[in-house]
Amino acid sequence: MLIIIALVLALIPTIAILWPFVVGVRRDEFAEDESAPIADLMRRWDAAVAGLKSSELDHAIGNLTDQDYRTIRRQLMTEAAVVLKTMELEEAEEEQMLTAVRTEMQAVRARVLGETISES
Amino acid sequence: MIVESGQLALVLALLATGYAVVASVMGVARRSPELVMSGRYGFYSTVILLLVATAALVHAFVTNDFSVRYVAENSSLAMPKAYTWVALYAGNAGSMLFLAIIFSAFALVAVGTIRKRLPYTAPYATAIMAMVLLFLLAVMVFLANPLSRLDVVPLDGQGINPLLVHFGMFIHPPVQMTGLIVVAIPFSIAMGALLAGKGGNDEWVDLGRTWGMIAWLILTLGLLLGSWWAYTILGWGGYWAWDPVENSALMPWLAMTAFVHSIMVQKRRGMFRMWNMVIIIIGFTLAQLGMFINRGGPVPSVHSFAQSAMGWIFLGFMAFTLVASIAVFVSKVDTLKSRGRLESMLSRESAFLAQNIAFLAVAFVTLWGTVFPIFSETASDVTITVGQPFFNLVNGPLLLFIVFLMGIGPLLPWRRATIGGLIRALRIPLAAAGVVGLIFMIVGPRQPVATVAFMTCAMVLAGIGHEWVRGTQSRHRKGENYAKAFMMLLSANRPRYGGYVVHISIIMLAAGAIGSSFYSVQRDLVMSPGDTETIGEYTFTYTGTTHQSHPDREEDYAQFEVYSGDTYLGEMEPFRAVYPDFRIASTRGAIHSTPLEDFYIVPSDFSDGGQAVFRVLINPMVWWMWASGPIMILGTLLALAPRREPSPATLRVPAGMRPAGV
Repeated sequence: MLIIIALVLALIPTIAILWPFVVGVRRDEFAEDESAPIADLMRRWDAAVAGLKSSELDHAIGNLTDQDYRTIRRQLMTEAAVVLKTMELEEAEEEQMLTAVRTEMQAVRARVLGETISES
Repeated sequence: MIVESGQLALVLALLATGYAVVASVMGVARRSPELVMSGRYGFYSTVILLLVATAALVHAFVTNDFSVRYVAENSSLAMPKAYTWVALYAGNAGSMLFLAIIFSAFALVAVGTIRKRLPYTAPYATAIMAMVLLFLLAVMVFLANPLSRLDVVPLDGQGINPLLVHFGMFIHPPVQMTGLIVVAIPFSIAMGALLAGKGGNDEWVDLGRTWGMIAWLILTLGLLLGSWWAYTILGWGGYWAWDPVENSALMPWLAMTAFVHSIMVQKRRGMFRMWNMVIIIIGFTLAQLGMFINRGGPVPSVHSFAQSAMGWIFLGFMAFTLVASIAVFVSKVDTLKSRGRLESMLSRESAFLAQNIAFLAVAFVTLWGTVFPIFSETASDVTITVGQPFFNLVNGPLLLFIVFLMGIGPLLPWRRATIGGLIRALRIPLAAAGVVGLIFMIVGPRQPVATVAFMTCAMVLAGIGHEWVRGTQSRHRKGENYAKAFMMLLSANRPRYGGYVVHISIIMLAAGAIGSSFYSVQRDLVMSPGDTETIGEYTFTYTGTTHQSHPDREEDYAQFEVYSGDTYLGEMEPFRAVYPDFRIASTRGAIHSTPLEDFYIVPSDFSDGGQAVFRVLINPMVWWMWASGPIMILGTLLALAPRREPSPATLRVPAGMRPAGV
């Protein structure tokens, strides 16, 4: 009986450990990088929006003078705008890269298969 | 057979955890998703294995299987079955198993959340958590196995330490131990981010803050519950005695309090990146120090139930993690440059920095006072114990300064403030402090330090209240009714107002501590049945004693009829129990508690003929300390409640505000 229990217990970590190798992984663990520029931009965006919210509140309740509020708001809006602009650039760069890949694939197909299929 | 199954489960958990460490690190190094996932699943499987081991130990307790050494040492036939839960962690080996199962369960949840949001950090964080668990399991398997058998089976067990037979034992030790070990989670996230080279852009901050707050809340509740427990057994010196074990729980709490504040600066401003790493390293080191002292460390304490050499093994692991953390920190320090800069010394960031330094100063003073006996013994062969007067003298002003900063900090905006603005914001809080000071001068007992302390508390409360009123009025002016405006104010700014709710609970705690420290009345009385005494408003008559014999103890219950003025408060029945086998006497005070004050009777000694010695106290405002707990939980949950900021797509930046070229 003890042997059966031992086998059952040993199966628990064994199955857990072997599962990814046997069944495979559905999703690449490293598909998304927390340090990717877009993730960093999102954090900067969140910080800017949170800053705007709290400066609005601090101004509304009188903790922040009009002049300081205007200065801080300008800084944070600039930060938010820079983030937006950079995101647009990121998207543009991504589009450029995708276009380059498509062109390259067409060239490969043409070279290897003799096909001339347009990506439309 | 069940015990052997538990033993096997422990060994398998050790192997699976070791595999998790290796697979996680190798997996991320080789960019192998299969290996990373395999390590993670191996780590998950330890929860099931540890549940099996725990179930085996519980079964041994329930069936009085005294062939298991730990069961024989920590239970007896006379022990009520309800205390099986207490016995599970009453000794060293059992508490290790408790730490392991609790940590593995928390780590499972933590890894589950980290892997989705921090994919590159997660394998390293998993490896660090697995190393912590590996240490606990290795100690159990090789040095202190809670499921090891005895060669000769005793007919009965030694029983549980009588001081542990108390309702408080059901909740305080597990919560305290959980708090200490859960500090390992934000530490693992921070170190994991550093190792992955992902610490430089605040990637880990959100999850580090969340888990830091969870650890902080559990530590806080552990301290509160411990204080409440000690209070009901007055022989321990009230609710706080600056005992080494109490201190060892307080120190990581101080560091984690500093951390949950300073991490907000990193989240909002991209600053304090190095500082936060340093604080979390200090926090985890102090948490381990707490576990070291609690497990037969070298410092004498009324709490050290389990004397053993195991404490030194904890010290060794603490030294290892400290050195390793410093090495990682130094090697990656270049990646931790701040994004923002301190724009003004008059800002919320500066207040957080000052508060952080004050918290660490209290932690350092407490550490010095706690370990001083070791140094004194090493230097001069004489153990000099540092007592309450030292801690009160040095930490008292520092804690008051922290409370003062609690009143100033929230009134300061991020980035910068002006002196004029601060003075304007402080008018109401300072007026409230002045009113309280005036009341104390006119009607209160003359205690200048206590008066200043209460004035500071009033300033903090008035500051919070005033801000809530102004915030609500601001929303009301935009058309919301007052109730809705107030709820929306809280809902829209949860971290901020959750923090304020926690501040209110801290003020309740501080008020209780100040009131009972400065205005407590205490008398020791020798009374015979029929005697009546008066202290303050209270008149009490000692009507007699009832004796009860139990297999393991002799109990004497004293009966009192108690009046406050002309109002009959009822009968109070403190008791004293003597455990001959353990040569221990345990007392339970009888308390009549109101928000204003506690009337407290505790027996010191009983003699023949019913004559007895009692300590009678009036402790003002202690009720507020226990009432602060639920409010603290509420505030923390409010601060932790997630709220996603609108994505960039939902916000249009006005053209005039765009920088050049945008």
